[in-house]
Amino acid sequence: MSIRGGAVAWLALVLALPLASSQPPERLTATEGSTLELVRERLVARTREVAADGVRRRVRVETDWPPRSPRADALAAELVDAVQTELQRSGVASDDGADLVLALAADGRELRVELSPEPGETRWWRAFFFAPPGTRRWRVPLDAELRVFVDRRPRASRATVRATAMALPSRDYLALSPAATRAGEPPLLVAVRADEVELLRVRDEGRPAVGRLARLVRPPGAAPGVLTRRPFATVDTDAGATVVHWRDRRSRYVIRSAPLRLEAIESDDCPGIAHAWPDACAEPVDGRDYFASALLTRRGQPAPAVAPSSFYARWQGAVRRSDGSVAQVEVVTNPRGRLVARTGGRENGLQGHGSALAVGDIDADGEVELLVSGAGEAVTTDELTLLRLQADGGLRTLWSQRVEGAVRVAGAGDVDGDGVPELFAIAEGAENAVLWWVR
Amino acid sequence: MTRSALTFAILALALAVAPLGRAALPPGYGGTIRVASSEPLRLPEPAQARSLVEATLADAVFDPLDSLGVAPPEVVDGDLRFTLRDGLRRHDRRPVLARDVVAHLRRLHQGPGAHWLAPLREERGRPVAVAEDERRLSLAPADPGADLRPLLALRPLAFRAAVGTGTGPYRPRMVGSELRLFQFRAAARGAPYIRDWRFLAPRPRDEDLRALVLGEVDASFAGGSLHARRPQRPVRGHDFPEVAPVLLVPNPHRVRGEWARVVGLVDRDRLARVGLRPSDRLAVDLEPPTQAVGAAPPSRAIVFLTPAGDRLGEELGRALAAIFDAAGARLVVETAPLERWSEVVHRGRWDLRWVEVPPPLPGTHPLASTALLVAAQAAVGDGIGAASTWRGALAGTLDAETRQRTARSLPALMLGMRRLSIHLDEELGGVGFDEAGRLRLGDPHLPRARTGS
Repeated sequence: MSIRGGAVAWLALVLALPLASSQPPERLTATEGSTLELVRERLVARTREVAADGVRRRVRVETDWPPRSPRADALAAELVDAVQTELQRSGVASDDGADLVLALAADGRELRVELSPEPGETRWWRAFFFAPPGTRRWRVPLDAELRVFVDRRPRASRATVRATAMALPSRDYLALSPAATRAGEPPLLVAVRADEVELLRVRDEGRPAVGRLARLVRPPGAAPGVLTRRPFATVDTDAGATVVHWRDRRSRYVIRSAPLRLEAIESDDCPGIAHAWPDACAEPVDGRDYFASALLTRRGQPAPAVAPSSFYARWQGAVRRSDGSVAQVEVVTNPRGRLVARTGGRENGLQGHGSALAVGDIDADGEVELLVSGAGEAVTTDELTLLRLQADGGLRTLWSQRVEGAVRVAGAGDVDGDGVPELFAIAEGAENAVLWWVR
Repeated sequence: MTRSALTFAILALALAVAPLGRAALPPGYGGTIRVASSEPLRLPEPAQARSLVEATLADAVFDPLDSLGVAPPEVVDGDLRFTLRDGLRRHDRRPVLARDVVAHLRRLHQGPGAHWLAPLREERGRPVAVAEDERRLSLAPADPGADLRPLLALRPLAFRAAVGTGTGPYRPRMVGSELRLFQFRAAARGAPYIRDWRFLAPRPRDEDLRALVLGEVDASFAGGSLHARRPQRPVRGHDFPEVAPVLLVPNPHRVRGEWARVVGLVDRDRLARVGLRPSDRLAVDLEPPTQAVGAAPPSRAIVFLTPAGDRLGEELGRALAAIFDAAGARLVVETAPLERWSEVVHRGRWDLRWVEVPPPLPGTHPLASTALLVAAQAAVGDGIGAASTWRGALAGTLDAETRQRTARSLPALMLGMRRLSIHLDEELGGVGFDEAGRLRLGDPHLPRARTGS
């Protein structure tokens, strides 16, 4: 290597060092244990790394909390305590040393944690051989456990639930699901009809409104041998793409962007004509408009248990409680019109509910809410009901509304970007269809 | 209030509120519907359906060929090719293969539906229908350039694997004098909702009405109430589309000169009360059959033949007899059992008979009225004429004038369009008719609370 080449290499190394030390924020999501415990572990580990330079430090905390954060100070105290304890254990804690700044901030969606050591006096050889400690950042989605401290929402009740009805451009919808169709854009509502998909945007800028962005026509495809008398479809958003599966087609159809279109694909996630759920595959019962209780294994997922019964609609997921524990929840509406909810080893049910089911923790309190359809007193009306599935398995009615027409499809997702899911359902009357937005 | 009284009150309230939760639930699968029939019953045969009711039953058991295809058929080198859907099953649970469809067409060619297959090329007396593999088959036209696609939509050509065995939403079975339709869950069109339709043997109108009032049947073609009383089980009337013409057919070997006198005597307006809407033509775009009209009444007793137990035929016979009587002529109504009907008609000891012609193609089909004309020709006994008309229609050689001339020369008197109503359990949802005027038996459903399924 020439002298000039060596100089360039040194220059590149010197320029790269600061880049290496400023890492992008790490997104933390606890799958099993407590989220708070996970944040604490990361802070302790990083404090241990910082303490390796031997600089005596003290913890200084900076916070920026959103409104509705009554116990934010308790969260800050807990995290400061973890860092302080680790400094003491490493023997570098000092009241007059350099600052180790713990910055805590949050918006409605996530908690941002930053640990940045300020430079301290140290020996030249230690600074030369050991990379100076840099700032480390974490981003943690606000779940029920963290929302106990930060951005706490009022618990859903008859007084707090906001339900908005908006006229839809078409009728005869078979499925509804929020889904991200383009990277970086807020999720749209994917509304499936007999032979097309509508992409709907829901806005709440003073006056809630829904608008149709696109209509994607289904290309032709092979039909299965045995059909159902009542058409239905499902939307799968868990494989990184939005995949629509109609009962009367063998192919699955994925929504592609640039240009927006529906494209038939051969997916091996689920065998045969089975429809995909996040955790499993479900086969439609021959000729019927519901699914069999015997679930099939989805590629990449463990073998599922048997569903509580055959079902029109099903939701299964892990729910984080406010105490940091995680509970498995499964909800189905069965062909007898019974809503069955299973959690914590307890199974509970309510009679008189139809095929629409949307599940989400709309108040982020660790207990999911269920938007379900039920029959109204008159033949021409349905009842839209919001239930809370309590941690002990009990079902409690929070809100209900009589709606014109029949409610057959529903979906859940965070469409307005406030960090908590909203629930949607479509009520179809004799002449028009109405989208209900419950949050 | 004691604790037991409170418990009782809560239970009573719960029971009172429970029925509210059923109205708009998803359709319920299950239940049995008992229907008092208005005409004699037999196992449905799509090619031999002689009324809207029989066409409705046939449509519940058999599927038209186009509904078995995976996609619209293609025309390749003049041949019609289509592919059966995968997973199709017959009522005996065996798969439907292309060779089954070929065998079905060959059987039809030997039977009463032969005129519908006239547009197919024949080799050694059999229509050219080839099963290329298990699911693909091709049909060859008799005339180059003929469009065979309407064949697949024809209701009389619906796929029939064996007697009473098809692919439709119901499996039929005669139980004594009742026709039972049992749901077939693997039906190509989807499983029907009602588990079991029981068509009871026809009985006099009064008995029929009384059974409906007493709740012994759930549906009737007779009427909604008896003597203005509301039946115990509320019912709702549904009118079939008026698409099936009813014709009076002479026996050319017996009536001859008397036929013009009969034509001169019949007043269509006086037949409205038996269930016919007066009309002189088969369809709006067809000219009426032209008959010579005699001035004097028939000079001898005229024998009117009708199937035994057929309410329309019996009432039509009585109405015609009254018209004859008023004119000083005589009409004798004779009945023949339905199972011996063809034989009795063939023997020829009758002067007049009547036929109802259910439309073979949906009303929106471009060839719907021509197919109705063909069906009428076959129904009055002109099978050769029917084959010729149908072949010309598909080959494109049937010009407008020939078509109208065929309609004018139909050897029958148009009496009117069949008016038929069915009164069904009021709670039954999903009641509707297809475009060919048939009641879709697969669609009606009961509320969940009634079905218990």
